[in-house]
Amino acid sequence: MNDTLATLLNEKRIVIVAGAGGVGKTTTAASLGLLAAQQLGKRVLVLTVDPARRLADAMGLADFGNVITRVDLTGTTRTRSDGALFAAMLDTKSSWDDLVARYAPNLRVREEILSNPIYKNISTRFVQSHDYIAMEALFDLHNKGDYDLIVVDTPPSRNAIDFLDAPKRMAEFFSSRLLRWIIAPYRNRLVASAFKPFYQVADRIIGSQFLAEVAEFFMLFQSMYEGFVQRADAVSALLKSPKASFIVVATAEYLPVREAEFFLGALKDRNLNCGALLINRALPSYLGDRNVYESAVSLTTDQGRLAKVGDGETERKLLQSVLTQIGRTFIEFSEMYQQERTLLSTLSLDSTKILQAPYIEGDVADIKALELLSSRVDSIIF
Amino acid sequence: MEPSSQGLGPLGVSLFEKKLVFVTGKGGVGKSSVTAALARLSSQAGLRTLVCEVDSSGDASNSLGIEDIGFKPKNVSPNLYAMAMNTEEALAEYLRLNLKLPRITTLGPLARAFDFVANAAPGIKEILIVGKLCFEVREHNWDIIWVDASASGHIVSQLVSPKGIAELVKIGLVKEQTDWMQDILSDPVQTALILVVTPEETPVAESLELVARLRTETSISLPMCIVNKVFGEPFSFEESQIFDEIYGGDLRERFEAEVGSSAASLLQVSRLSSGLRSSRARHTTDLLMGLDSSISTVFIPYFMGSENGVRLTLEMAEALVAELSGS
Repeated sequence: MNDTLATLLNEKRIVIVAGAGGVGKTTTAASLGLLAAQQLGKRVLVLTVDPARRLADAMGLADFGNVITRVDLTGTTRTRSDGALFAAMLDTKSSWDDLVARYAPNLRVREEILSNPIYKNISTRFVQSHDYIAMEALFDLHNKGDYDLIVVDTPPSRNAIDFLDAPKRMAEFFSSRLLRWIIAPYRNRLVASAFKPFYQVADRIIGSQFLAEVAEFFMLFQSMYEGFVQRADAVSALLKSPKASFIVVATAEYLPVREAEFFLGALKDRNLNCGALLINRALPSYLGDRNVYESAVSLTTDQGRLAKVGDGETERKLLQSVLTQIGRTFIEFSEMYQQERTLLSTLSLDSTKILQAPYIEGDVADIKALELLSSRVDSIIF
Repeated sequence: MEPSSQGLGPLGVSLFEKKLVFVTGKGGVGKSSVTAALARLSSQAGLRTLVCEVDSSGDASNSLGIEDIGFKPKNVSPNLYAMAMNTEEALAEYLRLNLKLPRITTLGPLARAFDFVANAAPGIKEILIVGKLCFEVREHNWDIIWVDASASGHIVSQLVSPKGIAELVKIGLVKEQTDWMQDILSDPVQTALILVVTPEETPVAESLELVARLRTETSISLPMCIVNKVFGEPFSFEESQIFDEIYGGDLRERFEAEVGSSAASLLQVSRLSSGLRSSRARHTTDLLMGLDSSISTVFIPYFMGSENGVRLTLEMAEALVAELSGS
């Protein structure tokens, strides 16, 4: 296994995989989990949100709703028999319900919140709710201490920064003065006059009844204030601790690379650890070999004696066209490879280590393919 | 200049007759580049064109080669303007127009209060986005608006927000506004949604799920699916049999004798390439099988390593012209 990766998977208790949409976060998280279980003998949990269905099947994740499933490693090459791989798919709705159950001051409030129409709407669509819930579940699982390592596949976030700031925002949200504003007139009529301008405008736009419903919901929710804020602070502290590290994933394309760079900066600003930048679906390095390139060029111009061995004109023609195509394909891919390297060389990274996982033929749809992919992760040297 | 004078076929002409087109797809499929390419084409066809970035990460403006776009449309090239959606400013504009209120930002904390309500209350943010877009359509400010829309999941919430708000909010200005918005959104002559997808497993699966959701939850017209990053077929059937013989059959030794130490790398790349192509072909088939026949499919080739946003946009625009000139 790659040294950087081995160190990371050995030393950390939490590895968070982040990056732009479509770069292969889920696959990367699963690969890392598999490596740690197979090669390092760790008891690993991969916590994923909304994975590709076939990957979910491969990992045995048929059930939705926060059920932890042990992944069958039969048939994979294991160097350690003591490792175990578990996976769970996070369901936002049931995680929110769990959270309410935990922090509601009493059963009545709990039931009122769970049956509130706005809660129902919000628990699936609330701003950053996916992000926060993922952090929350992570914290909970880490504290239980059942696993040596938890690998988290971050939710599809339109802006990965939301994810980092989710606990802080959640705390801010609950301690917000604005929240008190909305609730205040419903608590105390004397206060109401102070907020008159706000309510006059708000009434005209969204109607007083709706506003009242929103206020009622927030009032119920505020009863959980302390629990939420303490918890959000604790989650933030855990993420900043040496136990946790991020792996930022990108593909060697312009936008994902720029996004990764931005994200690395955001991690630094927040004093969060970044273990590595992983370039997924990287083209193989032999594409940079000059000698092979020359051979490819000569295949496109002169197919040599080989084409002459065919039986008859038709077969010779076919052979010639296949050889030309082999040459052309190499040239095409090698140009693509050069562009990839040029792009990657523009990365300003300070001391962040760069890893690459190769482009593999076909889909990563079963544990075997995952194993193949994970065995090929290596460092990029420029 | 009529769009048809650009050599567009019926498919392209009917698309360019729309007033509001949402372009959506999973992250990484290239919807911003596609949006920018379509907008370039419509502006070149003489249409007064607006590109609107929603949930902006600057990808569309990058593809257009401009920076720092804001709520106020910025001119990119003749006939082509770009803006970034901003719910706070959309609300301020709305209040100015409807309540004759001064700029809400001058009201101090009130602005933050609204932002807060918009953030927290379900559907408010969405309706501000959709409302602003529909307003631009109703006022005939543009010949066509291309929306670089939110990633797949979010778009449904946005499109249903007028209906959702109409149900949640019983009175008030917002309520009065929802009917005409719904009319615009469900009018297939004016409004459409284009799905961008790449021939890969997750994007195809998610796109098919999205189509199903759009069909059941919204009444938006879905005329077209753009399949981006398509690889061409390298070998014919006979050629691929020959390739197999070179790769691992009778011809391997001769090939090695001919090209020397380069043999393995050369063959490996062709193998990788055909593996990628056939997996993409399989996902394309899944997509085509899953889409109903009312949705036209348009293919854009994989432009290898086009790192510059503008260059990619131009290449895409060229490929789209070729595709849209068909029927």
